[in-house]
Amino acid sequence: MTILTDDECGRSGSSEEGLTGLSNSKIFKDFEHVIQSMPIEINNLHVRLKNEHILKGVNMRIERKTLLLGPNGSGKTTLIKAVLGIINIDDGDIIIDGRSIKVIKKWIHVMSTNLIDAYSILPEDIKSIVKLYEDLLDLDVGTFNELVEMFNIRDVLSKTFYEISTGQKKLTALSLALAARGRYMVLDEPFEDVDPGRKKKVLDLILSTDSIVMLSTHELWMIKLFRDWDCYIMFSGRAYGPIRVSDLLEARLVRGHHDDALLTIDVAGEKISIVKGTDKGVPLSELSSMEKMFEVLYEAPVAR
Amino acid sequence: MTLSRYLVYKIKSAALNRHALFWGILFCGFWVVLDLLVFGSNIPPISQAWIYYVGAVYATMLTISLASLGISFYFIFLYGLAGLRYVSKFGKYDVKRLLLEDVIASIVSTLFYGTLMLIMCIIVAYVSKGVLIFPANLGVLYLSIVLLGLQVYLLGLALSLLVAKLNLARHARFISFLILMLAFLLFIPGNVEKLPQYFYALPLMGAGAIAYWGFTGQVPPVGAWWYFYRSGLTIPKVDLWICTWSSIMWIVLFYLICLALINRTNPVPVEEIVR
Repeated sequence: MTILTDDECGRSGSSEEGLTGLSNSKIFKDFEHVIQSMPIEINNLHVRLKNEHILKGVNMRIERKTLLLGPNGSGKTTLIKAVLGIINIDDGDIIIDGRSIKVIKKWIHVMSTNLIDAYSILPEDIKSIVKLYEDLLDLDVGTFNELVEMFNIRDVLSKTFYEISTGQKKLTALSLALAARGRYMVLDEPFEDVDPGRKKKVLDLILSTDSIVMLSTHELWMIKLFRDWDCYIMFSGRAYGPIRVSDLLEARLVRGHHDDALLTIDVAGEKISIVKGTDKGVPLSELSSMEKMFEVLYEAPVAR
Repeated sequence: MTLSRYLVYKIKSAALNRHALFWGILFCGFWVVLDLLVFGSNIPPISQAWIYYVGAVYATMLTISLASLGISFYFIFLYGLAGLRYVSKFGKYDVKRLLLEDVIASIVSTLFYGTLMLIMCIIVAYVSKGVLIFPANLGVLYLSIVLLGLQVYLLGLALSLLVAKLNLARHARFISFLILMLAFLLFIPGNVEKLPQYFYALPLMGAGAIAYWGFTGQVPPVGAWWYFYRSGLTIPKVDLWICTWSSIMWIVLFYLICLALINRTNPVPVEEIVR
């Protein structure tokens, strides 16, 4: 099994260095074109899927690297699909670099993603998909090859996305996202199902990219690594924020409305306040995943 | 305008899809061999009856073969709608360009399958009787392939969009076979003598009759395709205007359905289709 050769990818992109010696700055050498981008603005976004109201008036402004925290089923992936133009918007709008997602077309190097659906254009093996997307998105095959080498997942190339493990799928999709060199990078749960050894590599890559990253996750164990990022919290199709991750790490969760709350979230019909500078409540940094927020409803003290 | 790699990979995906390979080549090839070597063994080799018989075999198997490609188009579109949307926004080509390449790829793959079926019939007929039979009118024959190809392509697309729109992903496999079931209706004029002209207004049926005409050079009878010449039956001829106009009408109708649905339909998550 060999990785895509230079001839196959039609360009010379491979590195003479071993991947172990490859610095992230080298991987992202092609990101020099990245310019100061305008934010992604999401205005009163409503999306219904299968007669279910999934996104209920989401308002967001993504102008720097941003975490999207929320439990499973909160609407994170639906929001990402809407930002990528994959699903229809029922109401509201998404403005990317000043243009509505409804009218955007032929805009390469603007948006890249690790969402598998975006790469499922034909049921071909990954090697063919890479060659196809080299043509469609101007994907950098050299970067893709380096990342595949780094993750040691060369054997996936001869298989389709549905013949590989979930972890391999995540790593392959992340490699595609990074190789697509978008000014904005929308990453859906990039750590999920990835083994601990490779999670560190994934993290390093995400932290070192120059793109404006919007990263969704329901896991909270790693948010301390994104201290200087912005954060939105999603619950039941609504987005709350923005809030600095560094503030979130110092905050505690208390039930009910709190006057000094950084955010007040509606969780299953009850209010939960995220309060900084209090010694009462459950520290958010102690929760392992966003699903634990529901437990807070029963455990946290009531705000006074 | 240079054609993209998408066109090449689309042709490859459509032509090598396992449904298309099984139904379009293996199944049809098996019946071509059985019909021409076994069931047609008592027909004199140098006779109009043999030409009509081979023409009937070709028209029927061509329709089934191309319908199997329709299943392939259906699944590829159902699978790829999300990718197509993303690429048309953040890739080099807009949706019009991608759909144009999609249509070209579908026509190329139907021409490939149609030609393969033709070669198969000519060779097996030669093996059976030692006489080479060539189509009487290649132009008409290829016109019928294009008419069939466009119908199965647009029907596949329309069905895949309906599946996505109506949340029928769990029935996706069964629904795909509707295209093939439709093609199997062409066995009716092979075996039934009395059929109304309007039978040929059904999707794929008219183009199937045109394929018969292109192969034999004779307008087919409305029924008893397999045996009318030998049995001496007098059966009215098919109205080729009905065949032509109904084929065009179905192409337009399927196109309009696709047009109405394509922007209003959310793609089915790929996991649901694979499952």
